Amino acid sequence: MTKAGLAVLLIIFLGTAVMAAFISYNLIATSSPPFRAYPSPFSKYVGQPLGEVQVNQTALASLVVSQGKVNGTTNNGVILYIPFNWTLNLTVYNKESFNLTVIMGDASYTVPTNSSMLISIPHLSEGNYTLLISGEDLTYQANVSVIKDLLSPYVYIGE
Amino acid sequence: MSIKDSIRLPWSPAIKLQQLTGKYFSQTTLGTSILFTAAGLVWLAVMGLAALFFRLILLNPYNTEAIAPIYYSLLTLHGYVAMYILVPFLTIGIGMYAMYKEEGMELTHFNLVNVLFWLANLGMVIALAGGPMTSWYITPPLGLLQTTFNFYSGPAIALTYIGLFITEACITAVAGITVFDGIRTRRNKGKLSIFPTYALTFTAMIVFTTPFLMATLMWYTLGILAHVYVNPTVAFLLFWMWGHPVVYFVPFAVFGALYAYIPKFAGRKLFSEKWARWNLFLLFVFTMLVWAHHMLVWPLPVWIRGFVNASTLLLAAGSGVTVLNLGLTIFLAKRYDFSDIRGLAYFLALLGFIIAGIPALILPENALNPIVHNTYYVVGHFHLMIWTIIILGSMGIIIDQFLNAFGRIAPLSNLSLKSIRAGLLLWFGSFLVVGFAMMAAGYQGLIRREIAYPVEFLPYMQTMTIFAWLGGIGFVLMAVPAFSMVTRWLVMKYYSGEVEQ
Repeated sequence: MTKAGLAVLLIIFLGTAVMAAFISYNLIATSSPPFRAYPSPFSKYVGQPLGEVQVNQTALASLVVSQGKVNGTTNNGVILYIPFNWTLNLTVYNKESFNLTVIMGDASYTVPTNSSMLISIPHLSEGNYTLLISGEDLTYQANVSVIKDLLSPYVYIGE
Repeated sequence: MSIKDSIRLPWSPAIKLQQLTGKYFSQTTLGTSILFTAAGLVWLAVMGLAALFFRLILLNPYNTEAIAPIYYSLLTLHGYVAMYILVPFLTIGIGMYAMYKEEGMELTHFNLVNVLFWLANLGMVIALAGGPMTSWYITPPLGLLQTTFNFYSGPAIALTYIGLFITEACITAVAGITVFDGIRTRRNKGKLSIFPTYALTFTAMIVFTTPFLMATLMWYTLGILAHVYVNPTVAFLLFWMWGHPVVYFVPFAVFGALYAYIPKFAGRKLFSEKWARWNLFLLFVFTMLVWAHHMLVWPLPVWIRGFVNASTLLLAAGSGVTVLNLGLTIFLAKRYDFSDIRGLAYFLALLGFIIAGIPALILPENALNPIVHNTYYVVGHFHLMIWTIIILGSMGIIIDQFLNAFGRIAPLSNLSLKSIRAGLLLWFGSFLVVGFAMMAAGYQGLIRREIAYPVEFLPYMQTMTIFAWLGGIGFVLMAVPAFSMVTRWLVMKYYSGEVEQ
């Protein structure tokens, strides 16, 4: 028997055990009911960890309008599901020669030509929000980032 | 004088060409296998240098768009070279060497293989010549965003796709020729030895899977030049039908070497050759059934999610059987010969494969994948695989290859042996630190491929950069003796008239 062989076997078995514990921890932390310290609207999402996971990453969506249709959607609208108490940061870049109109929920914003605008809506209620963008020519790019409670002080910009 | 001789011109292009190919083309199986593995090492040095430099860029968390073209050029070079040429070259080189060494099987189409080799390199150079504009953006996933596709779609991009297509077509042809020639020239009867069995199986896998990539590349080219509609989902699927198996080409070919040589360094038989042979089917089949686990954030139906979750875990079980078989072989031996640098390289490759493989168990889990998807966790996992089973495993084989080819008239000195040993250990230790720093940062949310990042990740980035450079020194410690060995061999053979025994 060699010590090197013993070390290899120990790493295989102990490593797998540690990883099993790590996976279990993450499963419990993200989907087990006792750890859902969220307000009542979330009780209906039992079994759906979306919005109940401790998010430490920036969520981002890249949206494109081409020939009157938002990529992958219809009627020029994008439905964004926003978890409870999250802040929506929507950065719209208007590189066109005309103004763009952005309608998010009930509010409307105008993004002037050749400029960008950060639309920040804090503490949103949980639910689906429709994002609509219109202009004379619907060729533009918008980046959306959603950051829970603005935990991280950065906003993702770019591709 | 024959009629043919009587009509011979004073200067015939065919004869001249024959002289040139005779002089400059490799005409032996061992030489051609070294051509591929050595070219792999050169490309490894190129892509490694690119990585070391973009790691310096990443030391600044506040990078702006100004530095983006340089960063993405280097990143593109790093990734393209690794996936599109380094991995297949190493696999083919190992395949040729395994069949030659263990079974005396030979290549016969030397001129064709040499021409394809140089064309493959040329294609890669064309693909990289576009610089930042022909960036990482052009292949999935970023290449499938409509916005990217609209923006990066000039003729230069089409040329890049064509360059990659040439490279992949040549590689596929060489892989096919290697397996075909090998089988045709086999003289021994009975079971093929374990090393060529694995190495040739996964060389053959290049032929089975690379056409999917070639189809994607051609589709994109037609999309740009002829405005053919590119369906993003289908293109993505085609890409990953090559993109996942490609990561197994070298590791599983190296498995063959580990099965063949670890028992020799342990001084006993392999724990179970039956396990090793049956496991080949599991590895071969499931390698091609797991690609959808790269798409877990796509809107896939539940049954596909369930299928790839299970198939990936079954593939992991196959890898588990391999490491257990090899671990038991070493465990039950009286001693393991670490004094031989090949023995050390194979042991570190095995150890690294286990350490790199276990953290990956979280990745195919549908419920947990979003926690680490597209973060440095994934980067840490697959780089650890590359640094250990792919590079260190190949190093063991390449050292053996070099000793076989050059060792008789240019043996490695004691200093060279010490340098390679130090290089192997420094490489392994340093990249272990880099890999775990990447995984720790990724688990906390550090997204990959971004030039700016939250400042709290700076210590991780600093750790990665420092230890990556240390690992680079490890590579130099291994490369210098190998280079000096080849140089000495060339001088002895061609200038001192030394003849091989």
